[in-house]
Amino acid sequence: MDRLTQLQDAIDSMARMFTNSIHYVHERSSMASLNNDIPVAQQKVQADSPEVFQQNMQELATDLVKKAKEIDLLIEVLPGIKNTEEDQLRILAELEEENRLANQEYEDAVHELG
Amino acid sequence: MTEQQSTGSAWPDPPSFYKRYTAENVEKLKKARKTGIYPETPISLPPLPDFLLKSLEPPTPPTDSYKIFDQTWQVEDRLATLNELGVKQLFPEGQIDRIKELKKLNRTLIVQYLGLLDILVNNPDEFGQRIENISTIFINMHHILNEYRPHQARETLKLLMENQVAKKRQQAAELRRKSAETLQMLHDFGQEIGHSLTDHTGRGGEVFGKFEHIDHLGSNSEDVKMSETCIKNEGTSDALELNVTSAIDSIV
Repeated sequence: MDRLTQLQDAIDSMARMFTNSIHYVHERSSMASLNNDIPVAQQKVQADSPEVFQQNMQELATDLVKKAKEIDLLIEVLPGIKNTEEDQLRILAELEEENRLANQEYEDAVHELG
Repeated sequence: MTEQQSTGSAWPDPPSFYKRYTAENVEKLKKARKTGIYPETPISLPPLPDFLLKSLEPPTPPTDSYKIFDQTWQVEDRLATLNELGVKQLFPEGQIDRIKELKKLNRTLIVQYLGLLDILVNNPDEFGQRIENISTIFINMHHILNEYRPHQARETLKLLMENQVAKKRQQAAELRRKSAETLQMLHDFGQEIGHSLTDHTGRGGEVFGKFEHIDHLGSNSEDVKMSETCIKNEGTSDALELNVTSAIDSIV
């Protein structure tokens, strides 16, 4: 799959991960006590247990950073990004000339063999 | 494509504009086109609403934008700049170093996200600004990538052309090599025949010498084969010599 599309996909999934992480933290957090004296009485239904919660948060954070690194890498390997537009046009003109020459050579070879 | 037998039909009716094109109206239209004057009085065709004669002309093709199935398309396809979209442009104008800019945007993105989380912790109501920043960054990144697409297309073209050039050169070389091989083979055949003839007749040497001459003409290898077969079929050496000389005369 071509690199540009990969890069675009990576950026989009980064955005998705942003929303996913916030959503997870919002949905699965357990109740916290506002005052040290008043203990937590009600438990939220969908809460994850603290350890699982911490682990998942870690995982989400590492995934996010990995994705950012991936995007960096993909940017590096974009093909030919070093050439400016004029360079490209020049290279294409040269290649066209070369192509024509090679064509001519081929025709000559065919011709001289009758 | 099935239609029910009842009065209803599966597909909507075509627009009723076709009813305007009665024979009489078409005549009027032709006359108006010739004279160049379109009468201003509307023509009425009950139960249709009134309409001007000029509206019977086909509409002019769109030059700027057109609508298909409720979507507006531009006649000239091009990438809109960020200013036109109303989005702030975070990278400098003109030629940019795409790699550096994209990386900078990437870093800013993460930082903004951290900011968002901070705000959500401390002042949850002020998230609007942060989210707007993040969205601007994303739009900018995608815009840079979209501008890169034509660049990439040219790169692909370059690769294709390089492939073509290499292939052609290789084929030309192959062709030359193969034909050299074939000529060599024919030359060897000629030699063999020459040798077998020297065994049978004393004049094989002469014939062989003449064969060499024929071989060097290169593209006349067909004629060489022909004269070889003629020689095989004839029995006597006189007939042999006559044949060979006539063959050589025809070639030269």
